[in-house]
Amino acid sequence: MSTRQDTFLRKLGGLQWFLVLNVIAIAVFGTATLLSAPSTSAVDGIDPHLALTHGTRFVGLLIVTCLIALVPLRLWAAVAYPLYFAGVGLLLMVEFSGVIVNGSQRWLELGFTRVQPSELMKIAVPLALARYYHQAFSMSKRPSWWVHLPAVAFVAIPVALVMHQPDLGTALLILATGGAVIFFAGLPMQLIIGAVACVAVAAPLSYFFVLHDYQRQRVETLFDPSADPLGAGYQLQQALIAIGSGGLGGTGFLEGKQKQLDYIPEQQTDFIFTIVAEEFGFGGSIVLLLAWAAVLWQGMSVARSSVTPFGALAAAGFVSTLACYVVINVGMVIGLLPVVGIPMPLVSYGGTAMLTVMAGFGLLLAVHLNREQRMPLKGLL
Amino acid sequence: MTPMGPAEDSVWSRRRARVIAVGLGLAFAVIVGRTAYISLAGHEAGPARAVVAQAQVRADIVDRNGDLLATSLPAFSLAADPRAVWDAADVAAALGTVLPDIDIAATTERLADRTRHFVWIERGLSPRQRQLVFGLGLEGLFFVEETRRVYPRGRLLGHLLGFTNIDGEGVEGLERAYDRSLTREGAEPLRLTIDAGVQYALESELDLAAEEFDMKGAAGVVIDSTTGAVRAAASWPSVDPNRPRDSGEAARLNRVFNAVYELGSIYKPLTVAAALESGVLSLDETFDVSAPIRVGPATVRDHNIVVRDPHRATLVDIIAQSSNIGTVLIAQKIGPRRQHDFLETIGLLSRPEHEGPTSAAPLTPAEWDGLTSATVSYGHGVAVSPLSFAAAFTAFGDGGETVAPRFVEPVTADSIERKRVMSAPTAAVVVELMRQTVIAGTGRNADAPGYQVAGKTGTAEKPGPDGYDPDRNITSFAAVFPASRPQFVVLIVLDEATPKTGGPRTASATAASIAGRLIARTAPMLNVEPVFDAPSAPAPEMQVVRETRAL
Repeated sequence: MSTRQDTFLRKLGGLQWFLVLNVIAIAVFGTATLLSAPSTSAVDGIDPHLALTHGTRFVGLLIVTCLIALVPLRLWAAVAYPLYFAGVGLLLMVEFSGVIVNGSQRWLELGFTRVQPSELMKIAVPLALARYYHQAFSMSKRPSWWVHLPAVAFVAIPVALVMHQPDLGTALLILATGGAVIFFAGLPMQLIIGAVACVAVAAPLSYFFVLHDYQRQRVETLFDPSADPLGAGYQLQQALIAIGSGGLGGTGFLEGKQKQLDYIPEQQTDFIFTIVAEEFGFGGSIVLLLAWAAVLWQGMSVARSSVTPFGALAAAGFVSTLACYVVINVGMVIGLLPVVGIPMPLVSYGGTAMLTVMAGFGLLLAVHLNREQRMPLKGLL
Repeated sequence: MTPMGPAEDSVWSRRRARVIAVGLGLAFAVIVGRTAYISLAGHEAGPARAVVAQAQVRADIVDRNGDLLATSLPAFSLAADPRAVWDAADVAAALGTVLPDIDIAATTERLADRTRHFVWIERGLSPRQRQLVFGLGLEGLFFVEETRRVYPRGRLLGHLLGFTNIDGEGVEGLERAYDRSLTREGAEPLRLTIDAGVQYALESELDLAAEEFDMKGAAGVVIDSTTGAVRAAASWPSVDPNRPRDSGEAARLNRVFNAVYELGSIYKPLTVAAALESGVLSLDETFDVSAPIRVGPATVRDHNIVVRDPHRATLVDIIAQSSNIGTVLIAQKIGPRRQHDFLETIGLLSRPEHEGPTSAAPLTPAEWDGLTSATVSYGHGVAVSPLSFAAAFTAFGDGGETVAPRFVEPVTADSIERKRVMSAPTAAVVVELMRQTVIAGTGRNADAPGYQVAGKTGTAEKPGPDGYDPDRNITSFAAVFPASRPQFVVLIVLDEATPKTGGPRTASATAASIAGRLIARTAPMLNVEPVFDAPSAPAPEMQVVRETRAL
């Protein structure tokens, strides 16, 4: 038996299989839910088109995930900076020559395909931060507080660019992910408390004394959907009715009324959770949320098990991204958070988000496989 | 350089991990708790926040289940103080980017007039548009709050709802018919008999019909034949009451109420009913339909009918195969006078009286002679609105009594307007004849398994400048269901429907299948329990004869 094959098989066997199975379970759940998504072309109520595409994409990407997992972690560290800077470059290009879709400029026409650089940043930001801190920690075990300043810049630049597109949801996600990595990397508590205190004092002051009237209005409608009952408010109201009509056990698979009557715009993407809650009831919602909690828990244990700062921080960063996805998505669907356009990973229909998330899982699995391998700085880009 | 071997504590602070874990745990607990609250407490808990609680000038319109169909929302009219505007052209151009409807040149001119403090720019903006204007961050602009009528379901029920003018007065449809009660102080929402779910199904079936056929227009009605409550009424092409002026004249016509059509053979069941009521027709009578017959100057023919013995066609044959000759022979037994009186009693010869928006008066023949009587017997020479025809058809759905169409709840037992137009046994016989039409005749495409559709197809040539034009048809399907205890009347009328695949232009190939699909789709929403016919039913003819002898 060749050693090479042996390593490959051993590596494959060493994957975090419980995590993988959990991810598969969520995707299957998502595919089933999409089978029930509203459609204009189906006369008998079922249009397998969305579910088929979703399932096929997932299977394809699962293979990609497993392949990515086998990429040595060193290579991830090596591509971290190039990926990050390429992403920032692309964001700048979008700023100047992007395509406007749905009123926001976030897509970049590459001739053969359109890419959304902000999506890339969801992976690239935690990677670059992990890479940065890896170096910092390698040079000094207890680096002084100012090492965090460049890290803050690493996060602030893409957040500002994405915010300007404007894509508030993605900007929030990148901010939360980057913030989480910096937090894990040991940003001094005094600084955190200081920053929070500053914001707490400055926000209301500027709200009342600095902001113009129209700027205040903008903030207000963001948090009060009833101010726009035909747009976001209407969507939310219908979503709440759908969830409410689900009850404990749901109306039954394919039986949701809100869904059948096409009440909820974009239900197959950001508002997919309403189908889950209407058709599978609170029971179904709980199962889905528990599955996500398990995935996050395992992701965190992967991060904790890594001996290298790079692995630990990259993994933690990705887990934070996932957590934000789930919490923000459900939060906005149930009316706790403003509707900012964040899908539920693996369940919502849509290729880009799934690609990002599955690449992230690949990274997570790679960290797991290489958890005991140290990573000398020498030779790293 | 030292190989990097970080002590675990420096990379990964356990305390911080715990902080994050606790934070996430809390976040999950909150979303789970809130989901539980909304799921288990019912949706009353949720939408309260999203529902607009403004002082409403004009009351809402809701469907029978309380789903919102029309509401009044705050709207904002944009005005400016030209003295506070720095550069009129810049401001106008910027406004043009978010409000494409405004005239930039005119706006520039108005904004440049520094002698004034106040100029209007645009009325009736939505909160979203106001946000966009705020987003521009321009000085000197402000908003004046007004209310605006909004139809959150878009095109749904667009024709029947009607719309209001900029001053909030109803000028069309229900908005006009109920203008007073909607604007009364402290008015409750106007609750319609319409079921938004059934309405949606009807409209989407008409849309699907438009994909299948080239057609000029269509109308559909679903009426609860035991109470008169109209559950759905749709005219295609649809209109969006939020933007009534975007639709052309042809689309704005409400084909259910305001168009009159010669509806063709769906009159044949009425002719048979009139004959049975006059006592001139016995159930086992047969007619010779083997050759065209002459009526005065005209010749009446049949098209492609399949009858076991054309010299002895039964009542089932005549209705199920839609024989013009047979129907004319029956009409001749009734005589013009009695036929006229029957149609008058059933309400097809005068403008129908009902609540809600008015509907069009029928076009009736000036003279009622033998020829008129013959053509009317199969639905030519008299034109009525689909609503009036459906209302007449409720007689078959309510044991021989017509009920007046109702649009507004509550429909209480003592407020239902019934009128006996035929005996219950007559209605039952005609329903059975129509059931056979769907089981074995021209209405086969209308079958909806379990819902016992009983109906009649109608294919009428449209009158043109040179008489009737065989290439332009009005196709229709009138039905009651379920046949064993009728509860609903469904009428579908298609104007010049031609299958895109090149099939026949007859009602059996067009209107009948739309009606069948609609019934299959809406019967569950209308709480009709499916029943299945016995698998080995005896031959249709025998069945009718036996049943009617028992009557």
